[in-house]
Amino acid sequence: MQKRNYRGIKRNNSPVDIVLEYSVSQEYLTKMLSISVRSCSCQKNVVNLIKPLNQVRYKRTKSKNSSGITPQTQRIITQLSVLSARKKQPKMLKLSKEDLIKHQTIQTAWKTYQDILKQERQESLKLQYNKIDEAMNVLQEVSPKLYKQANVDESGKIFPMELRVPTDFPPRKIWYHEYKKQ
Amino acid sequence: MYKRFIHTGRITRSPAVWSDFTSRSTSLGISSQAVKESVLNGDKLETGPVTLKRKSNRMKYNSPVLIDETFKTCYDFLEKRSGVTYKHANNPKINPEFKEKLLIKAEITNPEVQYNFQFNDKLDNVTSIIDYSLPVYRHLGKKHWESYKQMLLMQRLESLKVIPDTLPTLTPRVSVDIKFPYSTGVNQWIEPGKFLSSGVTSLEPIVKIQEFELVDPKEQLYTVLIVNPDEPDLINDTFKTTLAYGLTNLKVDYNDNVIDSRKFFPRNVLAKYLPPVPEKNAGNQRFAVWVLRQNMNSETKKCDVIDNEAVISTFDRNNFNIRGFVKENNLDPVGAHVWRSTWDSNVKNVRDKYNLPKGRVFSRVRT
Amino acid sequence: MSNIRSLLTSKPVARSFSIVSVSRKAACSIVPPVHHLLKIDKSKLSPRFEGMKYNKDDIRSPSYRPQDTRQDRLQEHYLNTLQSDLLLINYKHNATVEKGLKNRQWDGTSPYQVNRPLKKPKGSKAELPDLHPIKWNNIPGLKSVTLNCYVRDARDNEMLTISAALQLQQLTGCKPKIIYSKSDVPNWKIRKGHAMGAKVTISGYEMSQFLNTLSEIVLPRIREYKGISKTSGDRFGGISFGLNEEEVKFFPEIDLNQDLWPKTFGMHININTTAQTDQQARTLISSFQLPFESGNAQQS
Repeated sequence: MQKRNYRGIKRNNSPVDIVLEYSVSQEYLTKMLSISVRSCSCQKNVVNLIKPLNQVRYKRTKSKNSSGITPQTQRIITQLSVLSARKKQPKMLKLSKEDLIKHQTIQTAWKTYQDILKQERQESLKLQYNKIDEAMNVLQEVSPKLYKQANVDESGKIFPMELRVPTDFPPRKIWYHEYKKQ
Repeated sequence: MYKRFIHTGRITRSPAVWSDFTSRSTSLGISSQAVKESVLNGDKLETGPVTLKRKSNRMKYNSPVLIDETFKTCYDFLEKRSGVTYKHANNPKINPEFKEKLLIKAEITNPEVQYNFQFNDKLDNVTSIIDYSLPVYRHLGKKHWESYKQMLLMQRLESLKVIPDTLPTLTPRVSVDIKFPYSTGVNQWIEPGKFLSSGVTSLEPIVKIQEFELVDPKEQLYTVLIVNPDEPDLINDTFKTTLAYGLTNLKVDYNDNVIDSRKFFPRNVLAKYLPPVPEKNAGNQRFAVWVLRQNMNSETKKCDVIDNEAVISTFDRNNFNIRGFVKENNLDPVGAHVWRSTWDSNVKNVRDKYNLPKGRVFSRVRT
Repeated sequence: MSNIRSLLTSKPVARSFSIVSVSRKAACSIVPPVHHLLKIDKSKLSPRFEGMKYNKDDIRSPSYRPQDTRQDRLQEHYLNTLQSDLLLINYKHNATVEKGLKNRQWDGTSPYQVNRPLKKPKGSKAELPDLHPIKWNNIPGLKSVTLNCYVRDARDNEMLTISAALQLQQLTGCKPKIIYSKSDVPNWKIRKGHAMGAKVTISGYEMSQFLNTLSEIVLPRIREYKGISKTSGDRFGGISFGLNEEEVKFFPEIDLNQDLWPKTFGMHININTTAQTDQQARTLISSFQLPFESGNAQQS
């Protein structure tokens, strides 16, 4: 059993020692142990629970991150942070009333314009389909032989690899005139 | 060249549909010249958006890049389309419902209309800004009402069981708002289902009926009934419905649509207002406001008028059968509202004011 | 209309004044009836989350994303050139709707057949869709592309799925999902609920961008690439093929900083189209410069 000694507290560095200096009897400690932490094998942890009021904080000598993180774990943390959407969210735009109305007008106009284009495309495709149908009807009457050839099932036909998706910047040589199919 | 100019000038109308206010209502444009300039010609402004009041905010604010130039192109595009729609709408042969649709289509993309509607009071509307007699504002108003108030009302009616306790169901078509504006009341629109103290409700409410549909406001008549389905009926060990207030043959305009004592005459009153006076320990009382359209005769285009003096003798306001009343008079429920009252210490004063008998106090009895 | 009629006949609940609180208690939980036809969106009524009340295409909504911010080369090619070609290729004169296999009625010989679910179709486990002739309004087009990366080594080291997800994100610019095994397979040492890989579904501009990179940069660099298998397909217009971990390295996103990618993962690429059959889908996909195995593809 030790007496309470304030001077001793100030001199001591280790928190464990400080508490022991607090003249807490061994019985009291074991009592605390049974009440506060039911299954604590390490007495040092329990001792830390009852810190003195005037504890001194010392400067951290080890950096928080480097303690116990292997390079592999660090790698995964980096990968997860790249995947996370949090930092990639752009800031929400705050528009003035005028700009909000302008933005809405622009959006409406764009949608309307796209609808018109879509309708035009549908119209032209419909026209094409009707013309094909018409021509086939005529062909069926005029020449059954040609009609049979024209109505061959082409499903599963493959487009030639030479059909390219157009680019804004075409190659220097526009067309291979001497191209021969292998 | 000169010749051609004259020739084309004669046959084409001015293409600027949205800036022409000779045939269009002025409420389709922004009333403040500065704001209008800021919306339509924002690139010419050097001080930043006008609607930002503080100068420092205006200095800090950056518009999105090229928004004004893009806006101009889009404005011209939409205006041109609006012109075409107007031409269709002015065709005298089309039916009024289709014309209404075309007029909405012609104006709904107008940025000035959108500005007026989005940034101004839609409930206490100023006619020079939001004019509900115009189809486009009625359409916008309906959408706005459907986005919140309509759903809130139906949720409250359902959870408070106003339907089916008073009328079986409701398909809401008009926006109904109530307010107790007189000296005792609170001067604000009441949220459906709110508890109001007896002092607030001691004088009659005013009812705002906002129509969004195409009706004939000169002919269409409305009936307003306020009923209380929670009056204790001790003899039968149940509750009965009482009529707290009844008005008939009301005419409502698209804009001027608040029904207060200046708008009707004694002949419109079916039952004078009796304020909520709940009794102690008898529970809360719901007061359902029903707005009903009176039957419009499809041939004569006239509305059936309810003869109040004849009708009054057919019912008892202390045991009111609202379903029977609605059926007999061929009424169409189009809107509703509800508030709740409970006993408080002021009930006694209200009873004294209206010369009502003393209220009972109930207590629990062990059976 | 019948709904309305049933609502109109609904009667008020009989309440007694003396025993208000007891009378309406049910012995079991019941769903209270609804007396109106209006749909109520509770999220709109809540005073919280103001921004959530706006539509997603409103700039004030937090989930607003600008659309059409750049030119979509592949989509434009499809609309300008391919659509009319596909209409012509898939045209068949006097074509009618080909009924798919459907569930069959019971013959009614046994009383036990009443209320029994219908018989499965002959020769198929499930109903098959009808085949409609291709017209101007149902020309096959691209719907979406799903990339999935199954990492076998992840059964020992779950962290590999994160690398796989990162790889998919690098290639597509969209956020992938981790996939988990659905069941225990003792032979493969797989336990249920274990992270086993990643997948991502892309559409729109991201899809076009990915297919462009694939057909213009990656596939030409693969040595002796034979093309997509002619037997590939799910019968209803979905074509899939795979790239192994070496071939994935040809994507410029990975190729340009190979030091950062000590381990890459092979993946499956599933192209979902609006085509009704695999043949139609093959025609469509071949038009984006994706090679198919030579041979008679029309047979399969």
